[in-house]
Amino acid sequence: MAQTQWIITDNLGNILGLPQMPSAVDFDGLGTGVCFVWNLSFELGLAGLETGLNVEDFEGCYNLSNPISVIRNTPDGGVLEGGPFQFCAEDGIPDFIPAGSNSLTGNEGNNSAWVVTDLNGLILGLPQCLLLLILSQLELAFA
Amino acid sequence: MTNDIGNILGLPLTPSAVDFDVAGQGDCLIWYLSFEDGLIGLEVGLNATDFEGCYDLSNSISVTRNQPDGGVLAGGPFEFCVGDGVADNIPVGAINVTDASGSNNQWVVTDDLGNILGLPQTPSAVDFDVAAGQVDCLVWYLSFEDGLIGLEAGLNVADFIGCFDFSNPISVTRTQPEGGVLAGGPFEFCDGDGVADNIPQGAITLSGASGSNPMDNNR
Repeated sequence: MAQTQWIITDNLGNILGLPQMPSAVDFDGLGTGVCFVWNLSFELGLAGLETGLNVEDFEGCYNLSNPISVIRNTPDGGVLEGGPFQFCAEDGIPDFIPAGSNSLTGNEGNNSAWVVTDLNGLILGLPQCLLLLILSQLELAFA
Repeated sequence: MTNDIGNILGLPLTPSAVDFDVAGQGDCLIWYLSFEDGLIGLEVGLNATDFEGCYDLSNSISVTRNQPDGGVLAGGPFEFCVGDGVADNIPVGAINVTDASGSNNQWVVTDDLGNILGLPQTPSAVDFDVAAGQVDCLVWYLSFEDGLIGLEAGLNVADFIGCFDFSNPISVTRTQPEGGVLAGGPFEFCDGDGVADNIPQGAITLSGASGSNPMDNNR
């Protein structure tokens, strides 16, 4: 009589875990990458079913299901350099952050956005480009 | 009715009254005897060449009683993992047949219902990996006389018509675990944010898998 086992591997087939069920696995903290969830059916005597080994090296009578992918993203906002900036608001003069006055390095992620908040984290605006931001108008608009 | 050296086996009223099935393997001869009163030696157990008196025997009609014996197979049982692409042959010489007799003989591979799956020249010629389905097989040695009807792949040995005998069977167990098909996902998590990233229960469904995991009550 065949037995079954859930298997978590990396994208190279290395066995990361042998959970009782997929929902028992906390994928947080493993770092960026892709995992695969498989179901294994096997007969007694299978060799190689052990964390750290590779499913390609199984020896025995077995069959793996198709894999289900689990993508672990680790977005990084990066590091901004520049500023601080100070403007005189409501004087009728547009207040732009000068071009090239700040830089962004180390950012990572499938999506990104500039976000302007107040000191409490309240989002005031999501400008497409920081250089287009007119702070005086922004404050008026979101006051 | 005599044997092949003239010993009288029976004195039936008619040839058709004789049941040859219980007589065992050998040849019989049927004669018709005409004689006058006083013939001596017309008795079961005596020999027809010892008759004394006035008589005459017809020509004889032979009755051949065949008794094929499938013999005894030794070896196995065998167990193979099928569907893994690795050829599964019974090793040469791993099955031995003894005490078989008969005019013809044939290796027969059946399923456990007697359906004929193959008629190989030797058991080792069969690659059990490529046969379709997860069916346990039986290997038999068949001895038979000419005229056997039904010895054909796809037919059933229970339907044979003729004079034959099977050996004992050797079992070949064909295991074929099936990992099944997973549905669900793909799943995407934000790693390293301190929020546990678990696949929700029931978000992956498994179908078509063989085997059981006694701990797997909830995915």
